[in-house]
Amino acid sequence: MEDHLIIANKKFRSRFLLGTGKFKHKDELRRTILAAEAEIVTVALRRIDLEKNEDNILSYIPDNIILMTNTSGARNAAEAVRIARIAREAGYGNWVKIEVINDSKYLLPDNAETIKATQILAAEGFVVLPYMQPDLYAARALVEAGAAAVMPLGSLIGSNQGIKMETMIEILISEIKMVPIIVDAGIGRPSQAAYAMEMGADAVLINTAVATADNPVLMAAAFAKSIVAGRLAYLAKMANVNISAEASSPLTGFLRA
Amino acid sequence: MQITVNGNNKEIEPDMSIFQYLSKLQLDLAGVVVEINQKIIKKHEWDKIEIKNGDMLELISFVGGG
Repeated sequence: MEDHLIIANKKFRSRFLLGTGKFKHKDELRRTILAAEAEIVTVALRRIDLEKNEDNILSYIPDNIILMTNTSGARNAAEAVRIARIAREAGYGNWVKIEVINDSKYLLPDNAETIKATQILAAEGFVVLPYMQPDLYAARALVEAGAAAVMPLGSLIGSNQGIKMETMIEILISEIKMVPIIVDAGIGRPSQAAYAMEMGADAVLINTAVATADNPVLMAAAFAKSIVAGRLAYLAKMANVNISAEASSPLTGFLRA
Repeated sequence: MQITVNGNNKEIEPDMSIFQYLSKLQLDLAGVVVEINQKIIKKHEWDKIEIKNGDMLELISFVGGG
């Protein structure tokens, strides 16, 4: 039974999108991506540090992986658009994660600016995956604006709090059918990724929980399994939750004379 | 010749193309994007465009991110 994730008419086997930030040792990145079996990874754009002659992060990313540049640093739509155009010029594709944040305490995305940026960049042919606060009206506007997926936050970036927006995410899953829903941010452990997948999310994006684990390679493998497990459970259509007990076997007639 | 590179003042020789300057810096050029005075300079123009006095260069590349 084929069960691909489809984004912008491209089929993916993996529903695990991996972020590449916060890794303590860049040389672990390649093995981590392979352990995750991720086919899409996010990167950011920054000024080259001319003092340190650091290795290019691209040398740590396997070939045939889709590089999705995030617009981190952008405080408004104009800055996000500028970053995306720079990213495309780098020559590694036109997938962009729109991240427009102008609060440094909670790092919450600005839905209104995200919608504006999506409209401009989708019209320029980018594959746009916007990071957003789960809001049904904003999600509809993003789809209308040409987003290839919608990425509601699970909880605050880097917090490892898990899925704190479940009700709102469930609404998006129920009402937004034209593009995949990818839960992004705050997933702290594999069980939380499984939970998101059981809910019906099409994929999850994880960075901090993998990169800052003691053993990122092992953690990526754990997440990969949990994401598959959650997806299979969703497809299997889980049984109902009961208020009272229901015995596993019928009553034992022979014990009562 | 005085220019700014990534926000810092730098003294460079005149009559250098972007490509010549990047080669001097010995940068790995994979995924590098150059902006001069807030305008993206396409890769195929790097050897054709000369850096002028007072130019503001941004040398940008990929880093890890979520």
